[in-house]
Amino acid sequence: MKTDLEKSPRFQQTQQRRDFLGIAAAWSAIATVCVALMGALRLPIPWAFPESSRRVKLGSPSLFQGIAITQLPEERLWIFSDSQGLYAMSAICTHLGCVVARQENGSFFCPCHGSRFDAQGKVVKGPAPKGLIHLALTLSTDGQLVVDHDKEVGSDVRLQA
Amino acid sequence: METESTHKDAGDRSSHQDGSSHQDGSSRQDTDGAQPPGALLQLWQNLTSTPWQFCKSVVRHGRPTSDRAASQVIFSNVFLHILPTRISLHALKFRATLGLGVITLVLFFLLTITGIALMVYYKPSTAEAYNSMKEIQYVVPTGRFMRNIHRWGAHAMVLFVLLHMARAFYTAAYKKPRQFNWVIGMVLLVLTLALSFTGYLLPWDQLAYWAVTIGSEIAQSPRELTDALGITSWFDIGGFQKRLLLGSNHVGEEALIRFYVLHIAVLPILLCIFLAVHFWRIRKDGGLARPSDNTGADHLPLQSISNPISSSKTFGLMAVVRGQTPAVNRSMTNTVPTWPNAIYAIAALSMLTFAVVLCLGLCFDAPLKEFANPNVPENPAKAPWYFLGLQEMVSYSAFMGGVAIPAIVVLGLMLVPYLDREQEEAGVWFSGPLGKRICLLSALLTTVVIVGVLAFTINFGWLRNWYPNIPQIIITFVNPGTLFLVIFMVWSFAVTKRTNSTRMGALAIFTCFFVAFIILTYFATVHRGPNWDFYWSQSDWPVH
Amino acid sequence: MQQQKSYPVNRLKIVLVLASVSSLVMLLMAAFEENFTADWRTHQQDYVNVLVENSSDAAIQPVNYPLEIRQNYLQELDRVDRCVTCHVGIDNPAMKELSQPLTTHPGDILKHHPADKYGCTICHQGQGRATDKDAAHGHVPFWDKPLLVGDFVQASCTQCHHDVEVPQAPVLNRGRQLLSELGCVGCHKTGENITAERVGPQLDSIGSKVTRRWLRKWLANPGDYLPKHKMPNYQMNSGTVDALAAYLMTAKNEKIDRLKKIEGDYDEGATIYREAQCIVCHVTKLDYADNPVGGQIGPSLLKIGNKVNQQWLVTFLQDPHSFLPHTKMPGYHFSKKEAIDLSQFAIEEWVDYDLLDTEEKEPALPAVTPEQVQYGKLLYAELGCASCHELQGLKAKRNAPDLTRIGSTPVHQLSFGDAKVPHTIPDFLYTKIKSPKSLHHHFELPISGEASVSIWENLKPLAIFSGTHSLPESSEADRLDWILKHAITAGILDKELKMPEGTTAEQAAWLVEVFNKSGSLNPLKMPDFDLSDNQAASLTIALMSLSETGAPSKRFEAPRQEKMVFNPKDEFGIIERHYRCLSCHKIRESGDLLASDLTFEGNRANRQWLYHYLNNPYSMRRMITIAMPIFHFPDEESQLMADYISNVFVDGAMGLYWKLNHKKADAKRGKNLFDVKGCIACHQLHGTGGDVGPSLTTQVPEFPQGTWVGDKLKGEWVYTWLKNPQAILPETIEPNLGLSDQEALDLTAFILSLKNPEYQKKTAPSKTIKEQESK
Repeated sequence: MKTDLEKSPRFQQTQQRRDFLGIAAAWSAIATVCVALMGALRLPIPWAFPESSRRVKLGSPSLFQGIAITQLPEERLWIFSDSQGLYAMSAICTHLGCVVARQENGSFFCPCHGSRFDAQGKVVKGPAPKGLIHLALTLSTDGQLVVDHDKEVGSDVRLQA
Repeated sequence: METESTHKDAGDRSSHQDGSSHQDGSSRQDTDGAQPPGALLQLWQNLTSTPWQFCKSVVRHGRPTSDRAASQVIFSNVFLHILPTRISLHALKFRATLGLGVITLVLFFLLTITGIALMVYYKPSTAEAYNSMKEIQYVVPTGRFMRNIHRWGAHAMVLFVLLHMARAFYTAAYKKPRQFNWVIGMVLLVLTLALSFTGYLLPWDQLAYWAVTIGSEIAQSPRELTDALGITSWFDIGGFQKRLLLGSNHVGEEALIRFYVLHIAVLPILLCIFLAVHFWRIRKDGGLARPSDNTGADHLPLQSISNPISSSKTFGLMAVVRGQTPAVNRSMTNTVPTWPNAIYAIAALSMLTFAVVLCLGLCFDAPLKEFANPNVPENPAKAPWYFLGLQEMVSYSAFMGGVAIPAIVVLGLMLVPYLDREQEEAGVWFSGPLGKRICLLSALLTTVVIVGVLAFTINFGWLRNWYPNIPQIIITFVNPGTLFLVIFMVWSFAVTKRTNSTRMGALAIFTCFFVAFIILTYFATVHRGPNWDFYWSQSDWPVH
Repeated sequence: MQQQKSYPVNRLKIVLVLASVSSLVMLLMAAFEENFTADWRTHQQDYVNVLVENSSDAAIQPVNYPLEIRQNYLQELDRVDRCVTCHVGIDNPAMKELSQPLTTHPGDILKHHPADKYGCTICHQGQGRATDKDAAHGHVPFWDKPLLVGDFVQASCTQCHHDVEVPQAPVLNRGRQLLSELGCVGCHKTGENITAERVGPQLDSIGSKVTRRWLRKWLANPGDYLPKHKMPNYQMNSGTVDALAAYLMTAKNEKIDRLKKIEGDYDEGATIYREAQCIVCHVTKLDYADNPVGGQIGPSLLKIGNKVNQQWLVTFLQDPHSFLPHTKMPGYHFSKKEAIDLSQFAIEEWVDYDLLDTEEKEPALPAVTPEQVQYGKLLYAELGCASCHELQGLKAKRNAPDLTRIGSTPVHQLSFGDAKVPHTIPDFLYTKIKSPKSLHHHFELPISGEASVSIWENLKPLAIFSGTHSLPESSEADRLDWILKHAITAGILDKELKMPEGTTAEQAAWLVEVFNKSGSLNPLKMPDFDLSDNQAASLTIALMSLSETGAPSKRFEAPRQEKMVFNPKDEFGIIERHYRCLSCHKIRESGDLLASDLTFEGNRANRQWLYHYLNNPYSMRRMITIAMPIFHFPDEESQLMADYISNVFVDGAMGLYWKLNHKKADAKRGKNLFDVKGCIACHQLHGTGGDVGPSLTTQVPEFPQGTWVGDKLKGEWVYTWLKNPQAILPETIEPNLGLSDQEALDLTAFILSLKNPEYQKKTAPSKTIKEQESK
């Protein structure tokens, strides 16, 4: 049952023909706005972060060969040298990012939450979910050892240098 | 599994046999006695119908296929209900307002968005600001565009706010009941200029540094007067203003932070508040100024409404309000539903503005000069373009050009609606043919006077060139700036007397001011070179 | 919808569609441009392609080399250098053959300054943060440190290297040397590494040295007398020249004036000339093609007879250093007779008779007026002559611009005048050095004020106006006439010029035009040094290095190499300062390399040979007649020098292997080596062989002992030399033959066996005179 109000012309529904122009106008406007917004969302990640490169030159490989373990505290990693070659292990605990300390018996201990790792970096105890990360080592074009902080490699990977 | 069909038509109150929910989503005992579904099933049905229900809970009205529905779209939307549900045809005409207010608002909106984008990378310290600008330009995705849009948008906003003011003036949109809104508009003008000026310093390049140095010296210009009166030692308002602005005695780290805070927080908040009031007042004052409809319903004195709800109106609650606003009892002739007409108008204008600003941003890079070097003054050191006319006046007298003239102009403009209270048809450009003639004459007079005085001062100098020992106080009061003021005021009075109309006088003085602004800005941009000497063009500037 | 007017909403829809679509298109274009069309992507892609092509290693795949912006982030230097984004191969030796931007950095600079610690812009300038070529190279407006390439990079070394001689920066070092040699520092302040001595001769006796005629010609154009002249051409007009000459001729030396002219012995003089070996430093003859023959260290002597008067020359030769305190002329200490003979020889031998004839026919010079002398004195001060010449204790007025920070001057503060030169600092400096007056600014009359006053102010001081130096108090027209008249008198303007009719404004304009053409308004004071392009380029680089940017932190400062100065206080030092050995010889970093480096002479030559050589110098090479001058040392001095050299100028460690193992050396095997290695190609042996190196069997009949190489050299030195000649003398062309120790021993033994048999009979005394006397 319609009230008087509802019977008034204002409430009458008009016969709407498909308003193609209007639909086109509305959707093109929406599309433009969306594209603009998406483009703007690209803004917060710059093409170059204001920080040193993640691939760092460490010096000549001869500095590390033959020495079982060399600590590079400013890079937060160790360079190991064994019979098969060189490999780099990160000193950053895989739990929440603290720097682990090397113990006298060769194992690693994280002071923040007590995670323990063995001499090869495998996790032995503690909240850490996995072992210490091995970072990729390569040689630069001028013959220096280069570590890539963003690239992880398997624990059996060695660099022959 | 039973399938669920969704309800899409407004007003459909039928229920399905499989016991799906009612139009309003509730599940309750149906009137025809069917068994309600078990609670678990009901839960499932609720879950699957949630998307549609969600949409309906956001948009409560249906499709705007009727006038009422169209009104509801406007009325029930928090963003759109600043607009009336019906809008006069006159207001929608392009030549009524040229859309200047909308453009200005859209520009402000763009500036806010691009400004926030820039804020992610800009660092407000003298050591980092310039470098962060370079980073934005080179390594930030879309950085170059954001910055360009922001820069050109800022210039455009100042331009359009001035044009909008002119339009409001020339269409007598300051007359009763819109006097206060005019004042609000003037406040918005000042805030816009302040925003532009504070933003100007942020890149910390040579242009910025020296422009703000000039600006701070202008802030200190009351000293010219206090020095002449010998009272500076205990009343140094000029020095106070400058130190307040800069947080120090020179333009440096403190000034940068202050300008930054003003630019991103204080001034935008103030602007938003005043904008809110501005739009509120537009609505309350009966919408955009326009000539009266032929219904005689305008400007009715206080009336009591006997039949609060008339069958021919669906304006909603406003129909029962008593009050002065002439929107009450307005008839529906010469109006159209806001949805979709005004929406299209606003959308089209906005998108056009966006397209133009985007084009500017893509084609022209905003300048970034060398890193600010206090040891190497720019010569000439020019203020931003909207202050160049003032800088020309400042070159004759710091106090006059920096304090007195701006104060008089702003104050004068604010007073116009209270000084000119003649009733007339609002919304008529130049108030008719007589007004047009007055404006033309004023423009002509202004051009002649300004060009003449400038030519005179270039060739013959001014008081100090002829009388080197003349006291400064005399120059403060006798200089081209005051000359212009006096001449325009005299002209305006003459017009008022001759036409026996304050409106004509107002038209005269406004036109004088506007044309003067244009000519002086042009002059100071093109014809002033190093040492503020006169040059016919930039190619004549001495190389060093 | 009744009662409602219609609204043309479709128009708006169309506008909306068009605006939206165009915005969309622009947005997409912008996104595309930003993400795909950057030049650096192309360069990096090329690099990766080269890597993949040239490598057999399967591990080198494009996927391992993502295209990305690369940078050197240097917090200490407050820089971020993204040059390596395009210059990807800068430290990859394999990229040497490619062209820019992928090619390797030349030289071994990167070994000492690795890019990840120093970045690139610290040396090369440019805009490090930019990511497209023009912006990064700084070739955009508002970046005033554009890229430095080639030799210009050496201008940046001085930020961290504070030595006088910067390693691996030869052009810079040469430029700094020029700054000292040319006397720039006399007028300009140039900072700490440039010596500040007056480079010209003192003028206190000039009136007794030359004739006024000669002096006028010299001042007008030094190049007429000396093709290679140190004094620049000031392009003075005749009035200035007259005044200066008049003033300078008043500087007389009474002692010289009182001397009577004595005729010397020409032949004696000729002998002294040959013994003194003047030709080593001075041009003293022309060859068959009229090319000058002789050294370029001192001035050419070819026309000395036209210039100086004999009494002065006699006085000079007895003590050159009193006239030229910084001269490199050795301490000949000629006696009065020798000086007279030598000057007789000089005056007769080196005179241009044609010039003498011409000058006799010239009219007599007008007499000198006191005003001229007065004005000459003024001009002497104005033109800055005191910066290079000592005269009556007048102090140099360093009026020229301070160059201590010229390398970092903002470009718009430099005055380029009307020259069509790119507005950069290197272009400015180069143009200014090559032709200083070309940066002349066309004088323009100011809008207001009196023209005559303005013109007059700008004409001084190069004009000489007899009578008064200030404008007369009369009408403007009169004053303009007065200026014109005096300018003609002074020789600035042509005699035929006449003031045209017209208003004073027109006349003033004409006068300015005429003066501008003659270049005498707004005169630039710097003279033209007539430098070659190379010299100007070196100077430019040296000046560019004078800038205000210093090393960003102590860590970046290169350690200073302390330069040793050889200046002993013992008897040898007295002898050295008397004869000035260091003018020709180098001893422990001091001195020059005109002759040999004596630092390790004690290891090299036998003491006895040294003693005899000092008394009888001879040339070691067949083709060269020049040798050490004959100083006629007293015997004690020769003995002392020989002893000193043998005992002090030694390196105890040199040739230790020889000393320990010389018994194992076999001279026969050495002879074999000599033949096999082809030493005869450069050295003479018994009259045959090449003339590149010294003869090994020089014959000097009058020498008291053998002069063959075995008589002269010591084994420890020969052994060390043969093993690695460049270690002793880096620029020698004797090849390093890579001899083994034994081979070197053998060859040394062979060399030492080459003793002149005629002198083997006589026992060469190896004791000092003191020892002999004590017997």
